[in-house]
Order: sequence, then C-alpha cells, then structure tokens
Amino acid sequence: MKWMLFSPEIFYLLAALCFLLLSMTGRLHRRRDHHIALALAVAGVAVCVASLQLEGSLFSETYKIDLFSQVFKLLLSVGLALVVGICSELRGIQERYEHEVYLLLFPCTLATMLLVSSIHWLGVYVSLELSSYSLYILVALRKDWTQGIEAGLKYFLVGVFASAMMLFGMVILYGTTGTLDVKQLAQILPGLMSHAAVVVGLLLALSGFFFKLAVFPFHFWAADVYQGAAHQIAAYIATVSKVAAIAVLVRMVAMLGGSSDYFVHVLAVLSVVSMTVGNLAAIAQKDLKRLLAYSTVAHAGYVLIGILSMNPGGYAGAIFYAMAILVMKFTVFLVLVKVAWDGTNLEVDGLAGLHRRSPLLAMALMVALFSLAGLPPTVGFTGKFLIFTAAMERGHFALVLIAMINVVISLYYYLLMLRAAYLLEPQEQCSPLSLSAPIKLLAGALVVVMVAAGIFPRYLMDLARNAAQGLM
Amino acid sequence: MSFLIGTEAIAHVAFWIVVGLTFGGAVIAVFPRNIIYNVLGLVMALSGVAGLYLYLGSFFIALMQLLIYVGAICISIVFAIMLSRPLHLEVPKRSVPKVAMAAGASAIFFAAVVGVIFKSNWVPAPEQSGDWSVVTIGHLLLTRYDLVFEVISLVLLVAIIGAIVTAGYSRRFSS
Amino acid sequence: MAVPWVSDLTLLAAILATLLPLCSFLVVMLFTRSHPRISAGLSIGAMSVSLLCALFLLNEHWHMEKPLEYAGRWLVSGSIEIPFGFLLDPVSLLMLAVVAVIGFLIQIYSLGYMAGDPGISRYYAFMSLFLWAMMSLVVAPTLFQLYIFWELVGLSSYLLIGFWYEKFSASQAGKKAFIMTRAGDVAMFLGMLLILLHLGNLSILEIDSPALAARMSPRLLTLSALLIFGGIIGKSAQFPLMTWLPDAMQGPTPVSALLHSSTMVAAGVYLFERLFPFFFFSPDAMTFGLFIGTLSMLLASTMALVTRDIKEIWAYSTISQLGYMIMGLDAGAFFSGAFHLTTHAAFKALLFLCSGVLIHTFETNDIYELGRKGGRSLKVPMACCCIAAGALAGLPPLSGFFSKGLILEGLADLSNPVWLIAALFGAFLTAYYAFRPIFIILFPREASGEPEVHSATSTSKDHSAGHSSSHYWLMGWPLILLAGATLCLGFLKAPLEHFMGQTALPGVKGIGHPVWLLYTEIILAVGGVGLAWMEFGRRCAQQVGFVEKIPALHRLFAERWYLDHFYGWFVDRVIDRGVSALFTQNDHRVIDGSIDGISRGTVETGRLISHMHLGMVQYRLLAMFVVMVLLAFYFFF
Repeated sequence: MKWMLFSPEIFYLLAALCFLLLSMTGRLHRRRDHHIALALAVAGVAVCVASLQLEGSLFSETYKIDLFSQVFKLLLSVGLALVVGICSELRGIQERYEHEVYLLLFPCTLATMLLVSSIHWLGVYVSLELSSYSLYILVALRKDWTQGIEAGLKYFLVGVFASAMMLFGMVILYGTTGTLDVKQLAQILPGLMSHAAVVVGLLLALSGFFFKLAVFPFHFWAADVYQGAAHQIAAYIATVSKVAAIAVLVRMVAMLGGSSDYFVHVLAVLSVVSMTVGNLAAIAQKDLKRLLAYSTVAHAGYVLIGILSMNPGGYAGAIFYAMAILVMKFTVFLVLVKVAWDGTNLEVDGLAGLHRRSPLLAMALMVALFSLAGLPPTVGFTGKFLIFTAAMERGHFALVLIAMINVVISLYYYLLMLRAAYLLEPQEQCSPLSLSAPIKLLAGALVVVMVAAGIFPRYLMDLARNAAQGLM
Repeated sequence: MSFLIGTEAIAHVAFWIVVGLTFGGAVIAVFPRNIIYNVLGLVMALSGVAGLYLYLGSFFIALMQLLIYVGAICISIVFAIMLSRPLHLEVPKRSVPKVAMAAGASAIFFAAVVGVIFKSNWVPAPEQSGDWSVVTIGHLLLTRYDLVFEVISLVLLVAIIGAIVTAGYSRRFSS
Repeated sequence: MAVPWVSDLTLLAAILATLLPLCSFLVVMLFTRSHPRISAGLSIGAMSVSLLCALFLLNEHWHMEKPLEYAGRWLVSGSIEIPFGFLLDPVSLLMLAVVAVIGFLIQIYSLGYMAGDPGISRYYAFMSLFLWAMMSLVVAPTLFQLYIFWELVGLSSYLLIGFWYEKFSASQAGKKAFIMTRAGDVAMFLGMLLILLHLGNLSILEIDSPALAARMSPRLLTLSALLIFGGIIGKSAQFPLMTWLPDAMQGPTPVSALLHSSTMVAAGVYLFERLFPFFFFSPDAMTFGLFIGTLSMLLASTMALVTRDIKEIWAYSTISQLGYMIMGLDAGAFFSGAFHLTTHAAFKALLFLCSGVLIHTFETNDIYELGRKGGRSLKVPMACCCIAAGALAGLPPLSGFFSKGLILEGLADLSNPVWLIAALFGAFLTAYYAFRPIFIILFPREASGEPEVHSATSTSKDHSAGHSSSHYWLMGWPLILLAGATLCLGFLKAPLEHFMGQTALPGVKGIGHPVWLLYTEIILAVGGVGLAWMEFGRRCAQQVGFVEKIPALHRLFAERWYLDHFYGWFVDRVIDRGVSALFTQNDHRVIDGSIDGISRGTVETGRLISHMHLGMVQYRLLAMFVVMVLLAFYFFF
C-alpha cells in the first residue's frame, strides 16, 4: 500500500480537521479540547514510531520517505506532544481563540513533516509557508493584543522577506538549471558550482531555512517573537520549528552543497556571526524569553558548524543536536510555563527562589541549562562534542575555537539563570508551585533523558548516523 | 523609411516602450509623495513586466502577471491605503539618512545582480519542449504537483483563519 | 552450565551492586528529603540488595581463572573512545564484598546513632553516594574511571565530614580533608597522564602487565609510580599528608567508621593493590613506599600514645595500620596487604562503632571521662571493643594477629632488617596504645571524688531511660556481627590466600615461615598489653603513661610532631606572604585587570548588540538584505 508511506501526514491532517470541526461547535471546553489534543498528539507519536522503518517515494519522486525523514517526523511528533502537554492552561492566549491554537498547531506540524520529506523546491516552499503562516497567527493570538500583533507582524514581515529571497533564489536556480527537483539538481549542480548565478541562487534559496532556524541575518524576529508570543507557542517555535529547519537544511546541503568552498565559507561566516551575536546579545537580556531567543540563535550557529562540515559525522552531529535541542529547550520552557503560570512574561530574576518553590523544576532547569551550555555528562555536551569533532576532522580549527569561546560566553548567562533559580531570594514571599503528577513525571523523565542520553548516547548516535547515511 | 515598417522594427519599438513603462513605473512608484501615485506607478511597472513576458512569448504568464499583480495585489494595496491613514494628513518628511541607506542598499544589490549576470556563462534557454498550454498546466497540477496543490489549499485555510483573527483584533481596536 | 548466561548474570549483579546506591541517593535527594524514615529505608534497602549482589559475585567467582572484564564504550567519535565497565577479579571482588558488608552494617547502625537528627535524609543520601563512589571505584577497569570515582569518594567524604556544617570545626575539617587529599590527587593525575602518554590507554590490566614496563624507561616508570603513590599518600593519610584524618573525626561517628575501615582511606591502599604489579616493576618506588609506610606507621603510633580523645586514638591507629599495609605491599607480599586491609576493615569499623555507642551515650570523647561516667556499664560495646582492640594489637587468635603476622613475614624476607625492627617496634606500640583507652575506661579511677561517681551512675540511668533499647540494639547487632567477623576472619587466611592467588600476580613469593617471628610477635603484643595493664589497668596504677612522664616527648606527640604547625607556618609564611603575595599582585594588576576588561567588554558588546536589535523593522529588513547581498558579493572574490 503506497499510501501507508504517507500515514503520519494523513494522521495529522485528520487531526487538524478534527479541530476544525470542534472549533465550529462554538462552545469552549478547555479540558476536553486539551485531552483530545493530547490524545491525538500521543497517537501521532505512535503513528510516527510505527512508520519509522518505511521507505519509498511518493508524488512522482518529489516526496522521499527514508530513515532521515522518518526520524525527524518522530522528533516533530514528540515535540508537538510535549508542547501540547504543557497547554493545559493557555493563560497566555486569547480565550476565544483557544480552539485555534490546536487547529493551527496540527497543520503546522503537518507542514514541518512535509518539509522534511519534500525533495522538490516547490513542495519545500509551500510547506515552509504553511508552517510559517500558522506560526504567524499563533504568535498573534497572545492575550495582550498589542504585544501579540506586534510580534506577529514583525515575524510576518521578516518571514515574508525571507520567503521572497527564497523564491528569488529558486527562480535563479530554475533559470540556470531548468529544474527544481532536488534529485536532478543534485546531479546537475556539481558541474555548475563555479557558476555564479547557480551558487547565489542556491544561497538565496536556503535563506528561507535560515529564517526558520533564526540564523544571522534572519534572526531579527527571534527575540521579539519569543517575547510577544504565548509561552507555549514560543516553546513550539523553539523546538519543533527549529528541528524541522535543521532537518531540511541538512538535507538540502547534503544533497546540493557538496564540494563548494564558497558555500562552506558562507555558512562558516553565518555560523560565527550567529553564535557571537546570539551569545553577546543574550548576556544583556533581562526577559527570560528574549534571552532564550538569543541563545537559540547561538545554537543555530553551532548546528551550522555540523552542517558545513559536510561529512557524515557532521550531519549525524547536526541530527543529534536537533534531538538535544528539542529536549533541552523544551525543558526550559516547561519550567517557564510553570513558573509564569499566569501567562505573563518572566524576567530572569523572576526565577528567584525556584529551588524552594519547586526543587524538581529547579533541578530540571539546572540540567537543561548545563545541557544547553554543553557541560558533560548531558546530552548537550555530546551534541557539541560530535559537531566539533566532525568539524575538526575537516580541519576547521579556527571555527571550533571560536565556537569554544562562544560556549564560554554562553556559560555566563546560563549561570545567571541558575543563580537566579538557586541563590537569589525572592522579593516577596512566593508560595510553592503546585505541579500535577503528570507534569512532575514529565520533568523527571526529561532530566533522566538529558542525562542518560549524555552518558549513553550510543543508541541515539547510531540512529543519527544511520539517518545521515541515507542522505549521502 | 523601411525600417519603420518592418515587423522587427515594430517589435524593437514595442520592446523599448515596454522597458520604458517598467522603468517609468518604477520611478513613479518610488518618488512621488502621494501614495496613490506610488500605487499607480507600481501598476504601470507591473504591466510593463507583463509586456516583457509577452515579448518573451509566455502568454500565460503575462496573463497571470496582469491578473494577480495588477488585478489583485495592487487593488488590495489600494484597499489597505483606504483603510489606513487618511490622505489629507501631512506626509512625514523624507529623512536623508533613510534615503541614503535605501539608495546604498539598492546600489549594492544592483551591483550584485550585474556581477552575477556577467560572471555567469549563460546557456541559451532550451527550446520549449512540448506543450505548455493551460491544459498541460492543469494536468500537471493534478498529477505531478498534486501535493503542492493540496498543501496550497491548507495554506489558504490557515490564511483565512489568520484574516479572521486579525480582523477581530482591528474590530476590537476601533471600538 | 552455559557460560554466557553466567557472565550475563555476573554483569547484572555487578551493575546492580554498584548502581543501586546511586539510585537511592538520587531518589532520596529528589523526592523523599522530607521523610527521614523512607529515606533511611530506601538507602538501606538499596544497600542490602547490593550487599547480596556483592556476596553472590564473590561466591560465584570463588574459583576464577582469569579476571573478567566488561567494557562498554562511551562516546565514540572518530578515534576517541572512553571505555567504561567492570573489572572483576579476586582483588576487586573481595574489596567489593568488604565495602558492601561494612557499609550495610554501618547503615543499620546509623539508624540508632542518627535517630532524631534533623538531617537524617541528607545523611543517608550522602552515605549512599559515598558507597556508590567507593564500590564503583573498586570495580573500575581503567585508571580513568577509577580516578573519577576517587574524586567522588573525596567529595562525598567532604560532605559527610562536614555533615554538621553548623559546627565551624566540622566544616573546617571537611575542607582540610578535601584540600589535603586533593594535593595528593594532583600528583596522581600527573602520573596517570604519564602512563597515558606512553601506553595510550589507562586499562588497569594493561598497566599491570609487563608490557608497560617494557615500554617506559625505568626512570619514567619510577617517576609515574611515585606520582601515583602521591595520590595514595593523600588518600590513605600517610606521611606527610596525614593530619587531615584525625581532624576528620568531626563527622558523625558512623561516618568515621566507614571512612576508616573500608572506603576513603582504604581506597588508597586499594589502588596500591590494584596496581601492585606496576609498582613492583619499580624497585625504587617500592623502597620509597616502604619508607613512607614505616614513617607514617611509627609517627601515628606515637601520636596515639598520648591523645585523650578516643576517636583520635583510633584515627591514629588507622594511619599506622595503613602504614603497615603499605609496608607489606611494598615488601612484595601482596596478599599480606590485601588480607590486612580486609581484617582491618572489620576491626576498625568495630572499634569506631563501639566508641560511637559510648560517645552517643555519654556525649564525650575523652577516655578518662568516659571511664568515670561508667563506660564499663555498656557490656556489649565494651566486650566488642576489647575484641577489636585485641585484633588491633595482634593478639592471637584474633584476625589482626594473622594479617599482621603475614606482613611481618613479608618484611622478614627483605634483606635490610631495619624495616622488620621498625615494624616490630610498631607492633609493640600498637598493642600498648590499643589497650590504653580500654583499661582507662574499664578501670576508672575515682580521682575527682565521690560526686563524679554519683553523676556517672545517674547518667547511665538517664541513658537507659533516655535512649530506647531498640536504638541500643540497632547499634548493638552490627557490633556483634563485626565482632564475630573479627574473631573468624583470621582462620579464613588459607582460603582467601588461595582465592587471591588464583590470578597469578607477579611478585607473590612463597614465603617461608620463621617460627621465631611468630613468637616475637606474640611476645611483643602481649608485652604491649602488659605495659598498658601495668600503667593503667592495675588496681594501684596511676593511669599515667610512660610517655606522659617525659614532658618534652609528650608535647611532641600531642602536637602531632608539629606537623600542623609546620603546615601552618609554611602556608602562612611561604605561601601567603611570599608566593601568594606575588601572585596576588599579578592577579590584581594583570589577570584581574584583563579578565575584568574582557568580561566588561563582553557585557558591553552584548548591550550594544542587543541595542542594535531594538531598531525598527525596516532597518532589520535592510540589514538582512545587505548581508545577503554582501555574501553574494563574497563569491566574486
């Protein structure tokens, strides 16, 4: 059955339709909706697990299903399930639009799944737009209208600009090669790499992904959007959206970018500037979400190092890092959602006294921050280690050195957060945070995953390596 | 004066008229202070581009260009102008640094495009292979590009929801 | 019997044994900190399972031909791999069992000892951490893994010594222990690096094989052996890094028992055992070790002659017994050291636990006061204490007699008789100082008159009323078990020797048994006890030791040979005023200046950059546009 190959996508389409119908019933049943969404998201994970081993292609070879795409679909579905898991109280969202949150989250996830499988630029473009459009609206749904709309508008403008560049690049690519099919391009391009129009076209075409990944210079939206969006939506952008961007960037660079020094240099410049700008700007932030946004920019820089190494190790490292980002970033956002339970923005100092209000969350935050900073034995360390060794193998010593310096800089603001959570005394008396049992369990599980995947990364590494193998 | 009546000469003249339309439209779209003029200039420029397509022999694309850009986009821009700032209010002054920055950015873009054009060894476009009629396009949309086609419908759905949400915003905002 | 199945079960048991204490540590720290009973139960439960696993392993592999090594690889990338796993051979299995048994008994004992303490959950959590670190150290197959847990052992002992951190002296003692052992660890780390450079890995089996000796020049070999020996000196509190151990008494007594018998200080000797062949290749290092061991043994014995604090006496005795072990090992008698480590673990834990009961009941550490307050009324602890002291003194037929005898035999095989004479002298001193506190407590002098006696009886009544008998018996049972072990272990010499000798190690010689040595040992031990009796036990004895009659000597011993003064002076004068003043200047002017500059610069740049991000959207778009165009330009150059 060929349609079996498409089952995760069909599942998420149906789930989205289910919420379309629910939103038409008018009445809001917050708990019911959340339960349905959670059930569907978990079922989606199950579907993705079941289809992990599928292989094949659809739609006249423009849609590829291989281990790489299926691993990423699984990651995306897990990310969605996690985000839906913290949506039990959507206090940051307009009440009358709570239906729309799920209604938009599911198509957005569907779009990211299409993105990781598409190997035709048109498909890539359209699914990128679908996921972006959903996110523009999700960002604008913030309870505080002016904040939400402002963030949404900024996101939209930068996004549209990036899409325009991407389209322009695609046009140039088509104009010079006569095709937009990535498979055919992969055969044609190696001979055309000295051809200015081709290379510039390719670079511009990648800018859509740079935008998604918040790589310099397309990172301008990140801080405002994270700050303006509801916490859960920001969590979604920081996890699922990033994972999808890494996936498509890895695939495109692996298939098209090979053997071009120019590309490596451009990516190296973007990576270095992203890391540096992200980390330096994060130092000065007071708002927690703005800080996280800039740290995301920096992490995008690290991922780019893996991608520009253009060897299997680098791709595997980037895939592994995508998994790591999903868990680490989500954990921080989980803490954020629970600490700022009323949906308002949180300053870094607002974490004060967390270790007394909820020791579990404080510990989860600590492990996540250590992981983000890349301290062993956490998953973040393993990810950075893989990426840096892959880069060293290709002789990018200077790049790794700069990245190391950046890691040190980033330690500064991660420790600031930790200091707030563990050492600062809260201004006024804060009551202990009451967490439901599933959330406690989730936080504990995340900690275990981050540490366990750091100490015993073999299984995930093999998975990443096998997935990367299929790319070449 | 045989060169005036030769078909080739007519084509030349038509070409330069179209180019003139495009450039003139672009200038009008940028310089006047009245925003309605700017839109009209844009219409002119886009029509000029449609003429270029015609000149290149792509009737369908030229038609689409007129329909989408001139017909839809420019009209919605006009609507947007109507719904926003009243025209009788004073227009903000041009600030020199902004103009300078815009001019600089455009200049380097121009330089880059020229560079790309000259650096690339362009190959002549392949002869039109096969039939590129509307029928074929429709056929392709439902076979080879059916995924894209369907996803576009989802994009539209999401866009409509977005329109409703933001419309709700402006309604509350004005009341 | 299917072999893979057996090895799998073995692996499972090894994993369980080492990992369960960690689990209980995590669970207690995370979830049950506010429920002391659950915490204690969890921690003891985990420990009992790991005890069973350890005993199972010992039993299963009683007849093993070659060491079992389980290795996994951690983080493989390119050519870099860090192996981790388990190394199961007689050395580690025996030690694992010893640690598990002592740890388990001490945890039970702590139920009584720590009852009512507010920090009991924390106590059990740290205890589990400590035991986890030690057990993992024992089964480590590589020096690298061993080093990690070596440091963890140091860290957790720091936490436990400073457990009552409200007490200033306790936290000071914790710091002292940490810093002094660290000093040794630095040397050890350098030694490890040397080996790594020459061998390419740190697998213990490979370090122990002659291949290493073939690869390194004798000098380098000696150097690395000496450096690693530095780590042992720090951990096992040998001269000159010995003074932290007596101060480490500030922790709860069960902690001291654990620290002294089978974990912290034993780790040093264990490392020596572990790398015994490696040290054996370097005769110079062996001689040096012999020297250090002898010196520490004698110094510590003399210190123990005069102190009045019961825990300090046992602490000094630990140092001197560790000195014995190192002497035995350095004399080339591998089994003697290992055996003495085992027997010592039992009787030293017993000594501390007995003293713990006394201290707990009478709330004083002073032996004279303990005697006056009626220490003899606690029958079980005192009886056990006598047995343990007998073992320490080397009285037959207690376990200490056999193990010490083995060491003496080993020393007798050396050509230079100095070591043997020193050891015999030490044995005499040991017997004397071991029984000195016993006699003082058992036969108190009513020197201070009647009221004291009265108060003593009343306290003992208070004791029976105040402390419920269940607590007393919780503390009593481990004592009796350990006393049994002390009595019996000596007779297990032959089977244990067979067990340890199975995986043939180089340097284990067949030792002749000079009968005169045996008699000399007994005579000296009995003589020491006799002297103690003459001075402290007799009805009309003045309870003043012979050392105390010579004030100069007394002061020298009581001040620990002025070692602490020397360190104080050294740290104060040389380091603080000399070197460190120089460095402080450098720090302030150069390093601080530049670091401050860098960090201020970084933060300022951060502000600037984040400021740049606050611009209007048009400018951002412009920036994106320009950057992309510039990147395109880059292609042309």
